[in-house]
Amino acid sequence: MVLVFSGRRPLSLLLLWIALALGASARGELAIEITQGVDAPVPIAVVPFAWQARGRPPEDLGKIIRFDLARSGQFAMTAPEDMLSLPSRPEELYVRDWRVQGIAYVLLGSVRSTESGVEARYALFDVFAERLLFDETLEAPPGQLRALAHRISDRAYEQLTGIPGAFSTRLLYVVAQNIATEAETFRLEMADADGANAQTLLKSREPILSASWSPDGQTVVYVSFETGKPAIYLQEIATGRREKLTDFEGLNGSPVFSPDGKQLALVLSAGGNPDIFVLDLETRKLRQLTRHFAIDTEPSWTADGEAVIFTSNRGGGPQIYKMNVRSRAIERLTFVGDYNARARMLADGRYLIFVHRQDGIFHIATQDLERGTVQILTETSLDESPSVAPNGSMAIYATRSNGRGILAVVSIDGRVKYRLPSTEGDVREPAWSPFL
Amino acid sequence: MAGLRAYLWPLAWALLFHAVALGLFSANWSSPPALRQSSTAEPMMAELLTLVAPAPKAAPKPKAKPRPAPKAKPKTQKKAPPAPLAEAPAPARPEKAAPERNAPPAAPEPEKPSLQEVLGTDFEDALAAEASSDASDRPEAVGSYEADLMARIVSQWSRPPSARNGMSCDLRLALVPTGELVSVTLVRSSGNAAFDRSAELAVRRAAPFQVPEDPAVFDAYFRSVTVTFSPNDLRY
Repeated sequence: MVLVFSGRRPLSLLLLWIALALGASARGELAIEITQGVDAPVPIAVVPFAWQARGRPPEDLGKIIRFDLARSGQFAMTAPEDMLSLPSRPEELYVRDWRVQGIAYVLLGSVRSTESGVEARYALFDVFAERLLFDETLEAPPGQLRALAHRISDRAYEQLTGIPGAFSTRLLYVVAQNIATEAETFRLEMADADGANAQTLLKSREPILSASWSPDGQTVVYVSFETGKPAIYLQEIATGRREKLTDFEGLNGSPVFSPDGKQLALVLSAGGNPDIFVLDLETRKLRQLTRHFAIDTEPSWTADGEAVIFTSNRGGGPQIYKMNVRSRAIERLTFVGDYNARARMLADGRYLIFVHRQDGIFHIATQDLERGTVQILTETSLDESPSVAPNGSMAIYATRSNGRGILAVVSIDGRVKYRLPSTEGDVREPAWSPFL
Repeated sequence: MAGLRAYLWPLAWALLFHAVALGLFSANWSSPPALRQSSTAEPMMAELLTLVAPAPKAAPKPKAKPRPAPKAKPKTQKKAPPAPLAEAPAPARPEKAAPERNAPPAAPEPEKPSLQEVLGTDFEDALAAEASSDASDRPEAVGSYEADLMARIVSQWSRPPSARNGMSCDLRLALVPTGELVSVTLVRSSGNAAFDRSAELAVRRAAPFQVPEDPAVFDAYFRSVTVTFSPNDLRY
């Protein structure tokens, strides 16, 4: 504690002070305060799960969990070939095997058959404290092994980080193929958060845009040009049942559900130029929120549903504004730089994530609304459409690589970055699901 | 009671001195220190009070004679605050204090009485020693072992993403003379289990620690160590 004082005050006085302070506490024990850390990834081992069910394992549970946890950037993974033993039950774990390698936590488990499917028993062990953190079981239907693995990842992640895991969530995105040719096609797809299990929700010869989720994760809304002009559709995921919500003259764009799922904020230009509207999904009544000769677009809701934030060029260049939906009181949120657009508010209400142009390059950035500081999260260029994971830890966005549109993920603190495995075609407009 | 009264002056001097020193210090302390020290300034006052409290027990003892030390002390210390301390303050002061005190000079560390000695002598001596030699009770080496212990923990502390500046927990470490960690106890939780666990993991990974070889010094300072984890370098 007496260590790193920097400063210009006389050394003698400093020493005296230290002497006094320490002298006084000399009879007590040492009391130290640690105010800094290194935040290196914590070493963790996910032991290959023992397969005690019928047949051969269709999926490698341990591997899926390893990928999940590694992608979070919070953990350093031990490869199975470096493990000194492969326990599948806590009773079989020898602490020394892991301690010598400096591994802090071991996740292990097994899968067995049940009448209705499979059951995983999995446990997380704290090596240094020699303590079992949990030992649980989870059942799943036969075809749901990946989902089972993601659930286990969620559980371990929450236990170790204090934040709910978002590995069991899904992504929506649009894949465009053969752009600007006769065979141009657009697909609205849904996949697991790790990119696996992609399913097509809609296929069209005309563009699909701005897909987003209902808060319960059962329904999606999007803009489709399938009739030759933009219209907003609502689609139930499970049944595929669709409903056209708006197809006014001009623009029908950027639909987003309110946090309670009862309203939709969207952009219409029927009045001449784009403004933000709110559609009540029960009464189907439309209410105009903004009324300005400038372009108001890309709405999204604050977590409490009290306000809508949107992009407007009413001040000259595009900037982010916030409007209370009842009082219509308006407030400009962004001031750094001459281009800020497509904003989403994080659930804590303190941070805004948006597209920010710096030196002609479009990056994903966050702004601390309390301090006003802007942090650029990505080193890629032409980044667009950030969408935040429901646990607030990561954002997915669209960017370009080798002339192709791809999806990439960045942690909200900018420390962790990864790209999603790319499918063929141009991938764009990602939307991260709520907790499912 | 008469014996007790005899303490009034030395005690008054001691308190006055501490107040002056504290005043000097705080007047000069312009920018916040690089490392916040939660446990220093205030505990100093508390310690004085606890020392005063048991006085009645000590009073009846007839051998309460070593007044010279307390009397001499105010002078020594009044001189001390200005400049001359700059170079090597610790050795300088005890040299004066030691002869004044009746305690036999400890062989291995002649420059200051060992802590055990101070603790072992009766209350007057302890008070005199405490007042006359203030910090010199703390062997110089303690600081470097302490720094080492701290650095090791810092280098192992990975905060979970849910950690926020302002969170704080206290762990009590029980060490043995070989520097091994016998136990870690969470004495005050931050309210965030993941945060508390990250602190505990940092301590366990940092162990074993370098500790002083002198058993007295070890017992006094390192057998039990309280570590407060309160990050101030996080983004949030």
